[in-house]
Amino acid sequence: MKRILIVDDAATVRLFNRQILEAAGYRVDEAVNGIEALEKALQAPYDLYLVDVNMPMQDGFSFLRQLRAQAIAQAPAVMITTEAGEQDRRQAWAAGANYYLTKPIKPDVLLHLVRLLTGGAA
Amino acid sequence: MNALLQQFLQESREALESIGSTLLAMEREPGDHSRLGELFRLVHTLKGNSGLFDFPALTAVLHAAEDVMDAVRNDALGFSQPLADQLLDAADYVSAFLDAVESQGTPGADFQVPPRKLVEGLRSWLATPALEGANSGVALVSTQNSRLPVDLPSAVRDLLIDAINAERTAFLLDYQPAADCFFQGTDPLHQVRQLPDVLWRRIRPLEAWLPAAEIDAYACNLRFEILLLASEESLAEHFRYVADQATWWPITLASLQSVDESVDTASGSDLAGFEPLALDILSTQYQALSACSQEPWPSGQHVAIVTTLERVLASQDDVTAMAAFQDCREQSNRQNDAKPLLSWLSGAMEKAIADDTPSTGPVTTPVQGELGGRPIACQALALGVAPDQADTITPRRADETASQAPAKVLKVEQEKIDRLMNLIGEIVVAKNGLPYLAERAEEQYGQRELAREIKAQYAVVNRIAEDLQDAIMQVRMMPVSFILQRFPRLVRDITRKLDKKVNLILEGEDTEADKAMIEALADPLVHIVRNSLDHGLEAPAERLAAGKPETGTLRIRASQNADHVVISIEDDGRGIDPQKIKVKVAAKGLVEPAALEAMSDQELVNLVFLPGFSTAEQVSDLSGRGVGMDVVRSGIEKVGGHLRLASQVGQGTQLSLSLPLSMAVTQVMVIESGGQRFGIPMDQVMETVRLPDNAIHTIKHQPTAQLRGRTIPLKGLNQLLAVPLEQVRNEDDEYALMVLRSRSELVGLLIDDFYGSIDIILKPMVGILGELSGYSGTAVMGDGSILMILNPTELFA
Repeated sequence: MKRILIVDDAATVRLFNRQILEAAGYRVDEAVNGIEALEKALQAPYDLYLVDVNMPMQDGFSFLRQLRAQAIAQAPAVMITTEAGEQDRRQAWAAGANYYLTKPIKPDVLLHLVRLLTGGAA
Repeated sequence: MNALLQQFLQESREALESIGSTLLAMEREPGDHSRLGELFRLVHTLKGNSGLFDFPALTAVLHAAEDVMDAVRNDALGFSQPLADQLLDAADYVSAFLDAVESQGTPGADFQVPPRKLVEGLRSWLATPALEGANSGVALVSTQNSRLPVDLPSAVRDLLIDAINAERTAFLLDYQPAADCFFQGTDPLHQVRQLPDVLWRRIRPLEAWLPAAEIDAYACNLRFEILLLASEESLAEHFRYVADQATWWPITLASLQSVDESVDTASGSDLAGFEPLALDILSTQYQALSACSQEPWPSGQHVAIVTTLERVLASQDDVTAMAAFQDCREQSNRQNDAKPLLSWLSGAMEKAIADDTPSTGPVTTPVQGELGGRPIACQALALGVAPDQADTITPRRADETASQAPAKVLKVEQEKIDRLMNLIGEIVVAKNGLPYLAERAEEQYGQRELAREIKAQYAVVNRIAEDLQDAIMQVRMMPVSFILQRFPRLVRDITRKLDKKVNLILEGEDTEADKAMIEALADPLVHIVRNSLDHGLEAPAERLAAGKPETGTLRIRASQNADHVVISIEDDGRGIDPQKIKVKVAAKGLVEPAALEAMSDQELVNLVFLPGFSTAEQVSDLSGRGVGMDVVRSGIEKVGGHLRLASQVGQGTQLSLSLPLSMAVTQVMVIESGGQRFGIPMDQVMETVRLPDNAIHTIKHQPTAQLRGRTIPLKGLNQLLAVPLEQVRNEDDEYALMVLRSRSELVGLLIDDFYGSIDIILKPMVGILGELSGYSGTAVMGDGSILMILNPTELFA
């Protein structure tokens, strides 16, 4: 089963994404900030990371930079944010993101993206 | 209500509370900017969450608020009191919206359309600073970017080159009108038509068009791309009202050439037939790889990109593309360099652009010469970032360093706690059956030994039950601050309306009480505070004239007194004048003149609790909402609380509310009258005495008795309940008398006999019985019988 980590401080967003992904057969874990996310990723790397940009304590960019610096299996990471400016994108690529999704997230787009980035079905 | 919506409501309310208190804190300390980031994040999260639902009105308001906060956070806009007012208004709107959703499950008719005034009011903060800050602010001009569409017609390209060579400045403009632009007085088409010297333009949908039936004709879904000869200043001027929706980049000869090169290097595989999303992911990897191409191969990000490419290619079943990719990856691995992979990507993507024909093609308008419609799935590649810009990224948050994770808190629905409490209540009642059982074992079956064992076991169960009760109480306890925190805002708004000056002091906010108590306290407290501000505290001029400081003081203090929580509200206002009350009550005919004359000052002051009384000369829109102090008092009494009022003319008023810490368990005294047992709440029982028949004197048709120097009116319970029986006397010809405190008076209740006091779980009566105000409820006794609990205050009324 494909494992996905949702990193977002907003509980509503986490629940929303979790419901969509679990219904499609993925295993979903949650983290409320970058620190918790890194801890979880170090325990057992995931197949995909969905990362919110704006979080307290440690934001998404910072989490990705640290994740990419780890000697673990590196999986694609999707940055999720409401801002979609060129500056934000560049920052995301430099931090280690592989895709950039803007809120509000549409369930079908998310599922399609996740299917492609995890290399097929759940 | 589904779990997601519930989660949304809960999280949003928490965010709103934090926003409210943060805004007020910032007003107190205007220079302190440390809270701005947090404030932005809260609004941002709210907005993000609202987008998950179909709440366009809510999202519009939050979006505007977020933009304002973003500007404040970036120092493009100063934080001021009027701005705080506007944000608080927005918070109120959001709160009302959430209320509507919570009660009806949908926003309802009132919240379908975005509140124009509110949104425009918020956006008005952005208009001016955005113009001033065009160079540094939102409409950022990036001088190094080459963002030219690869499918630019050659005629246009030639024109461009000529113009640049002639020292004219050319810009690529990307204008994405906001979805609600039509409601903001913007005409995007007009904006675009007014632009001078346009070489080329293209209009595309921002997002794929919905089926015709579902299209929202009032939401703009267009994106304009325009190539024009203009100066930066003129563009900033042209888009000054929608600066956040337009972006432009200067075009240089170099950028024109870089497009040429990327087209020329197209080679190798052919990605035609790929899903658009897959192509977009691939082109994104090109940008990502460009951004980190300087890192030593293979970095974590390189590996992630390779993994991404591998997975996407695998999902598209393209053997040729996969083989070509594997070759380039090998090459990159051998050379320890990202370049081979990068050039494969760029080539493959270019080819795909050329071959792919989109199903929903863009609309292009020929401006000069011919223009062709081209696919856009890979425009990101053409507009891509040069690899050498990777190192220009700087961290944008200072607090990135790791800090302590917050304590773990489990959120549980109140319903579940209530259920748990009811169950515990039942076990408390059930265990009360054991002493009866012991009694029967001894008396009916002669099993003395067994009776003792049952009693011992009862002691154990009793202790556990008490611990259980205590534990569930702890769970339900919450600090008084839960309701007190709304007062700074309330007081601020009211005093501003009344042009009064008040210093609000909150004390003992961490005093805890049962959640139900706290909630029951909220409305009466708001009313009392309103009253105090409206009627109690004087206007500054009046205060100065009376020799008081201009700013009044309102103190709300919470404290715990034994098993009660006491909230006192004190002001240093004009106080309540007993003589004025007397005149008013007499004028309204609420009390007989003779009785009025006999009243002490304190009794006169207490008349404000009479139904139909209001001290204000005229009903104001603040406190005079048709709710008098009588409603406040009955609200408090309904949950077993008491209210005490004291006032000194010219010095102020003190009101204190006393509420039981918890209303789950009530202690009652069991009594008997007319052959039935009743319960009377212990907190009203002052004393129980045996009264000889000859100690009863009738004064003005009212039986009374002298007790400890006080004259106490007596009432027979049978008479009050309309039971046609005399109260039973004992063998010494004495009545059983219970002295009760009803409001602030003492009343004697004649009954037949007393029993002990017990703890009960009070269940209010429902249905038709609920209208019997003489009873506060029922309780199940240990032997399974039902005990009716009396409400003496109502009985005596």
